[in-house]
Amino acid sequence: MSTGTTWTIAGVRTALAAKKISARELAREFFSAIERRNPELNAFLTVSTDRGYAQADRVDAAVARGEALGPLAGVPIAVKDVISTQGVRTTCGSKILENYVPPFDATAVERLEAAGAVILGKTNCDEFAMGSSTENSAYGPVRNPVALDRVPGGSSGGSAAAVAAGLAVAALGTDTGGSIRQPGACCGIPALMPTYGRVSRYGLIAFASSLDKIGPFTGNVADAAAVLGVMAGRDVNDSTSAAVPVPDYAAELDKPVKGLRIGVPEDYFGEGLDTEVKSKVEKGIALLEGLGCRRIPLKMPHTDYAIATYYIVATAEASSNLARYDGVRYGLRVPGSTLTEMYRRTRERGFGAEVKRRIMLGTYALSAGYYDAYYLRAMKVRSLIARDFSDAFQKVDAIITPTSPTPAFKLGEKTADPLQMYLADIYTVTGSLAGVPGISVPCGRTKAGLPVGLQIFGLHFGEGRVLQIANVFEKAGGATI
Amino acid sequence: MELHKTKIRRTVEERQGNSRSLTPIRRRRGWVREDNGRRGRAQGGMACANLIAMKISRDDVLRVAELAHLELTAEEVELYRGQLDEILSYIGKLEQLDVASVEPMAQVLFDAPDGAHPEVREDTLRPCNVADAILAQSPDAARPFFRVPKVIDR
Repeated sequence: MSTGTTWTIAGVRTALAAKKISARELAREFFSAIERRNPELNAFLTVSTDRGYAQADRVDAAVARGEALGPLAGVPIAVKDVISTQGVRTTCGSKILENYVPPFDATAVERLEAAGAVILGKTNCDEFAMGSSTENSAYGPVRNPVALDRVPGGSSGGSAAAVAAGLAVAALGTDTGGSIRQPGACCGIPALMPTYGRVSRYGLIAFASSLDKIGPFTGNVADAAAVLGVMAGRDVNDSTSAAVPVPDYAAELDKPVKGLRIGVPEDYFGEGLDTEVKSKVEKGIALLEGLGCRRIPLKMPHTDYAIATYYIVATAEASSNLARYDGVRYGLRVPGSTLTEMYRRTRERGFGAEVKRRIMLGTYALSAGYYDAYYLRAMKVRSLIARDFSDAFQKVDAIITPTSPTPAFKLGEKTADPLQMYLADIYTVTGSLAGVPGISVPCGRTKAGLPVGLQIFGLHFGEGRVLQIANVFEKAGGATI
Repeated sequence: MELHKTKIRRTVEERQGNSRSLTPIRRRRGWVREDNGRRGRAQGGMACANLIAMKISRDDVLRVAELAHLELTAEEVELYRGQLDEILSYIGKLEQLDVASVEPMAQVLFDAPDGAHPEVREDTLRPCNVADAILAQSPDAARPFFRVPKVIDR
């Protein structure tokens, strides 16, 4: 089975309420585990013992006073290092922010802590969330706990590895083109990308502002619902956060799926899909059919153009968002005799190769003479891709696909060829561009023991349905299929 | 005086990460960025036809690196040129699609339910006392300023 820790959110609540363990003891258990295993995995970049224990003590005091506990009281949670945590170093996996300490918390972090969560520390990731393997981190790659010579996926590889190795009960990741779902598939744990605008991006250090989302990795689907429920909702500090009411996700989880129409797009099952992955996902779909779902074949004709679209839109936005790293106000500064020289040297020294590549690609796509042919065209194709989804949802309640074309690949296997690395996201970027929610759930393992992920897409703000199907799938044994 | 203004304007634009504009033009009393989008559209047809065959040149890489404030070594220029070339060739497949009558997706969830994105908040002052924390870790602070190499030569 998948995850390292036996603790679940419900388990923590029960144990704390029954005084079987204190929040401090629980925190210590996790901090010790991190100390033991992190040197090998490199999942954590910063461990926040001060903050974590202070919170644990607050939870213990509440327990002692007999107060009602928050929904995540005492739950040890890790946070991807692109998300701002007040007083705790936040690097974005980059040298340019090596010693940056945010003066504020991201809204998502604030809400988790207000619900009682114990923040364990910051997890390793591809630099500025750009990558599909966490090999682009300036602080070394992360090892997949399931297979140490393999990648945990990316860009949220540290968060995925932390949960899979039992070093956190939940972890926050971010997803722009697949960076939550794909690591979840690689490491064999549930990984949820909410609808764009469902969770506030305030405090999320921006990569691509029309694509970035924060979402949870957990040991089981019910926990993902719990974490989402705490984070979701309108935030006045993020004008793109939606005022759509947050439903009671837990209430949806165990509803029967009989009669639900599940769309299976043939475009996700073609060339390039590993045969073992295909076989497991087909078994997963059969499992859902066995539970009463109706399989509806779909065509989503613009699937094949999604990577090209994404690598224009996302890089264009990134080139703008990363212009702020110039050595003036925060982060690394390499001195120069002129302002421009300072900018150039700072960015040359502070950014890694993938970040530079993407900044240049984005700048090129937006530059004079190319804007129409690249960026404007990509924005139009994005509309077509979004339309594929809205057309599909006229006919089905959810769309089922493999999360990733292959299981976790070996460290170093794709680093020489950027385009090959980009193609790892072919099944995830589509939903990213359309802004729909998607989850990856464990769906068996290959003969070599590598986890396979099954992806479920839903309607905008339809996380309830996505979590319901995922939960029922999990309870029916989907992970060991 | 005119040269002086040009220098400031470019610096401000570059700092704002505006990679679209290379040279500002003066229009009446104000300064207006050259609308390269419009220019691009006029050239659009020809640019489109050429794009599939066009490969990114060393000069393109140098130009882009300058716009993006990246200082590259000679080896890096060649390395990135090759990689960007391959990526751009792949991206060329978007040319296959007929998008003449398609609206660009300027905002995600434009069709979201009414009230999903309330437009404005109350115009009330909210304290935000982070100035000291920010200056404390800036590379070169002279409160309340960030100090940088001289910009203006008088």
